[in-house]
Amino acid sequence: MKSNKIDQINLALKTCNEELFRGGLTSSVDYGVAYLLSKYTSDTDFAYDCVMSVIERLIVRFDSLCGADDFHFNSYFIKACKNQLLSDIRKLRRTEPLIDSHNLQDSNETIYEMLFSRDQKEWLSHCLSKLNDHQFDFIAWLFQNPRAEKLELEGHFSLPVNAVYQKKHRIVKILQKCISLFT
Amino acid sequence: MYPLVDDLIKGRLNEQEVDQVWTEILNNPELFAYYRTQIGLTVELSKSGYKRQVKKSISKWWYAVAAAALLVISVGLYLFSASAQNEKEFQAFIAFNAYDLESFDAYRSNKSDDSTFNSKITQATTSLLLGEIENAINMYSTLIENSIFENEVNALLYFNRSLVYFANKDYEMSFSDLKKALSLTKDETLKNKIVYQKLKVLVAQEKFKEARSYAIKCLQSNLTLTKSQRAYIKSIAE
Repeated sequence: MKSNKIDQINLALKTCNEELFRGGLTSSVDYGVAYLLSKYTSDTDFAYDCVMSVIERLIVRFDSLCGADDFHFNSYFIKACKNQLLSDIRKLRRTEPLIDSHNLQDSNETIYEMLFSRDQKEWLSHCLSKLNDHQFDFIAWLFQNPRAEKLELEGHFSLPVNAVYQKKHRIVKILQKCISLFT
Repeated sequence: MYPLVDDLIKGRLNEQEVDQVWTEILNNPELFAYYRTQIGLTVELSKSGYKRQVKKSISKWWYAVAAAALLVISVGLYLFSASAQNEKEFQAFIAFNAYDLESFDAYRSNKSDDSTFNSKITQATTSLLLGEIENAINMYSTLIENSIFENEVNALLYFNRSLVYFANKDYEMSFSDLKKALSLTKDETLKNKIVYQKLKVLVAQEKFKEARSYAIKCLQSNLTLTKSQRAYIKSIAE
């Protein structure tokens, strides 16, 4: 996924470069799908269709958006994806209720499947195996006890809760850097 | 913003907050990378008995990677040299090739109770895997200079440093470390790995004539080679 996606889209709109605009939009698809899966639906195909509808609409509107100073792509994109999804849900519900109630665990797994290829999953395991035992036990406990409250965290690690979060953040950053070698 | 990403994954945010966080994520690739890592960890680490699975799958995985790497190398080492221009890919490749570090970690944990030494080795390994080349070279160099360990440990240290030099395209130093490692070790598995690496260095240096005669020498020697190892060396020798 390109790191300069928003810059690319803004530049495309400023310079009225449609090709660059399309390129930027294409690299935004995963973000839009992950956003919808994180809160509103567990159906990847449905989320994907909604995002693609928004992108098609944006491409059609390119001429009117081009040169506009007050267009903020990211907030527009997020709102448009959600509205598209809600509107499609309403339409679908007239015939049959296709959308299940949102399940957080399922949605995280669906997003994981979408964002990580098989090789990247292997690489994640490899990165985890490179942590020392202490770091691994620390991070494993935190992720296996996501609902642990302040007192439980402090009691388990014998650290103030802020230090726990800092330490976790540091380890996640190490892993993030390791993962980035393969993405 | 990072704690909010954690809350997003744990489902602790309301609709408005979710939209705000995603607007920020869209604007900040670093934040998206963090979100992606957290999602991966949330799903992987919530599996029960994860640690054992990792150790099992990693060893299988390394065998697969080693076999795949050998195949790729034998088919197109030159292509690899060209693709090495992509620094990220190159570092990932080196990290893949550093499967020796696995055995090294296991070896030194049997041999050394010195926690400072163990922690320094872990740091050096992490640096290598994170592509912090200079840092890794400095760490291995310090360990080698101050080493009070037996020859086999030193041989592995030299071998690991040679991988880092190779990643840094410092082929002369890489070759010199490999020679030292070979003179120190009696371990057949390590010897095989050193032989491979020496061939890789010679080919990277475009010393094809030397690589060929070295490969022929290897085939004639008493080295215990697997089929795939022999195939690779043969491809250089022919």
